[in-house]
Amino acid sequence: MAKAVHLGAWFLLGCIASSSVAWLGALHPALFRVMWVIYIMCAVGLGVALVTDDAVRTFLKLSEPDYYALLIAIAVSIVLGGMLSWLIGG
Amino acid sequence: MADRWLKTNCLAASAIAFWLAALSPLPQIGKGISYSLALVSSVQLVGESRRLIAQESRRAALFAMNQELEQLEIGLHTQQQEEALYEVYGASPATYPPEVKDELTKSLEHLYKEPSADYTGETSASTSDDKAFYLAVRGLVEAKGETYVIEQILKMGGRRWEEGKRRLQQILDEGQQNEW
Repeated sequence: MAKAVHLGAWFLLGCIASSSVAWLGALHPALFRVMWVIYIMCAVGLGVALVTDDAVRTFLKLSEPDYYALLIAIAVSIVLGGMLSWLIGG
Repeated sequence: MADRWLKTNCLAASAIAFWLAALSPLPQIGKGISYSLALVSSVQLVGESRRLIAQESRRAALFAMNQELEQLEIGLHTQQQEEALYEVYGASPATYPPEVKDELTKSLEHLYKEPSADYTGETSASTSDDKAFYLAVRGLVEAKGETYVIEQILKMGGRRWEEGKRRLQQILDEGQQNEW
């Protein structure tokens, strides 16, 4: 239960950070580019983590399903935060 | 200090509430404040839930250790009880006073010699039977001779002659010793 709360807290943190980045991007045209840079860096990092999964997996000492679940959760949290901020945050 | 679970739940609720407030159509300053508060509370939530994991595992370990100790205590107590019982009942042979011991021995002998008791085998044949047998054998030896007794009474003729002779001598010796 405590573990589930911990993972949920990380997920919530990712969502909030992503939507705050999206909100910052919506604030000013200069920050818009910064937002895209951050999002693209996140996407590139996820892609690199997906490509080099076995090396990173041994470094993090995670099993294969856990590792892919972690990647999917990070991607979902970023996308969810950004989309929510874009759709209903204005 | 408040319970860690309560703290964690409050932080999670406030993080979600601040996030939703930031997503709602507020003025930009309100959105900024809400976002920063949501970030702060979610970071706090992460740390607090990590401490919660540690606390839960620590509690589980303590519970297991306490259970182990309890089992050990029960075992020790049982052993002590057994030792006390052994001291009371086991390690003291024959603490009866002599009169009681005589009485017990007598009643035991009475039980043993009771005619209705279940005799098994010939080990408990009474001395009077032996005496009658000795007298009969001696009479027959005197009347009909050793050969008849060994062959017809003891059924030890032929190859077992020596054994029969020894048996007859044993019977006669026994009778003479007891002066029947």
